[in-house]
Amino acid sequence: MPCEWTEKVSLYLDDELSSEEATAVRVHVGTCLPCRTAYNDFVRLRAELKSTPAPPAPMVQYAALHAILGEPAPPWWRRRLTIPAPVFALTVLLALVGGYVLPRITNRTAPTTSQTRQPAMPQAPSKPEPVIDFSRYDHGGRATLVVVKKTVLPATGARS
Amino acid sequence: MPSESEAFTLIFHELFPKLCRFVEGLLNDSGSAPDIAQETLLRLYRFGIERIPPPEIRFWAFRVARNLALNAKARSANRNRLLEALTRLFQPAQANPETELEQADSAALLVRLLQTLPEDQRAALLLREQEEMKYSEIAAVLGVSESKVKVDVFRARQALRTKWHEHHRTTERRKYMN
Repeated sequence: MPCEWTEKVSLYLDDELSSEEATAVRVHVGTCLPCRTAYNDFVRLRAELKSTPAPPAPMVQYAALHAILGEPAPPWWRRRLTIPAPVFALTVLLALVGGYVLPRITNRTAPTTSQTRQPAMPQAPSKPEPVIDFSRYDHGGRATLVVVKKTVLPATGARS
Repeated sequence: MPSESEAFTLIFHELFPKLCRFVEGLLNDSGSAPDIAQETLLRLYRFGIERIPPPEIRFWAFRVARNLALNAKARSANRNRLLEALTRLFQPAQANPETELEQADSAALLVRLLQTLPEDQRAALLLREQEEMKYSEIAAVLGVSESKVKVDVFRARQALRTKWHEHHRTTERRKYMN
């Protein structure tokens, strides 16, 4: 019959419990047969796994090392650049803020577009504009409105 | 102060046997384990050890080794599918896996029993038992939460001990019957 403390036994073995919990588990293992069996099995499995499998032969290890160290160094343009995530985020944020704020600041401080595009030109001596005197066409008469009715002609040459 | 290649050599001698052991435990394939360990450390060398904080080099290497091992497993599964089909065709008398397990010695038996576990449980257990990593470190290597590691390690242990006892019971029964 499995005991509900068995998971804690596993945590106890891995030293992942607080000191109070570890003491409680130690006391429990002393009195509970399934937990004591589980603890002994876990310890045995650990010992077996630590000794398994055998390490590689030294020749294999040295051959691998020489193969790696004999590798020519990659050119600088093939090296990858790594930036920590917070630095990358900050850079992107600064770029965005810079792209949004800078044009506004520039617009506020610089003169308006029309002023910049039309620099003040020296005033050339202006010619006198020709003056038309309309009074000579005014003989005191009044305008008469004539209403002309538009006659609608019947459609000729209608399509059959 | 050691040069870059001297520093790398020290790291290599520390990590190479551990990576071989880890990959062999993951794949149950002693042939490809040194190749995968070498490829992992070659990537570390190309990347530059000075670009990784020293305490994290180990985690970096195990993470890369695991990914390479999983890729290699997927590739070999595809490659061997046809070969296995042909082998089955020409070898109708299939060896009984139970009998094979009985014949294996204790260490080999354990490695084979490990293969019956889900991959994430197997990786978590190997990193805990062989590399003595803390749960938080295992979580960083495998890219999962610490609570998942806690559950995976426990389930792996429980499953292994159950299979271990079943295997020994079966062996005893067969001996008695014979």
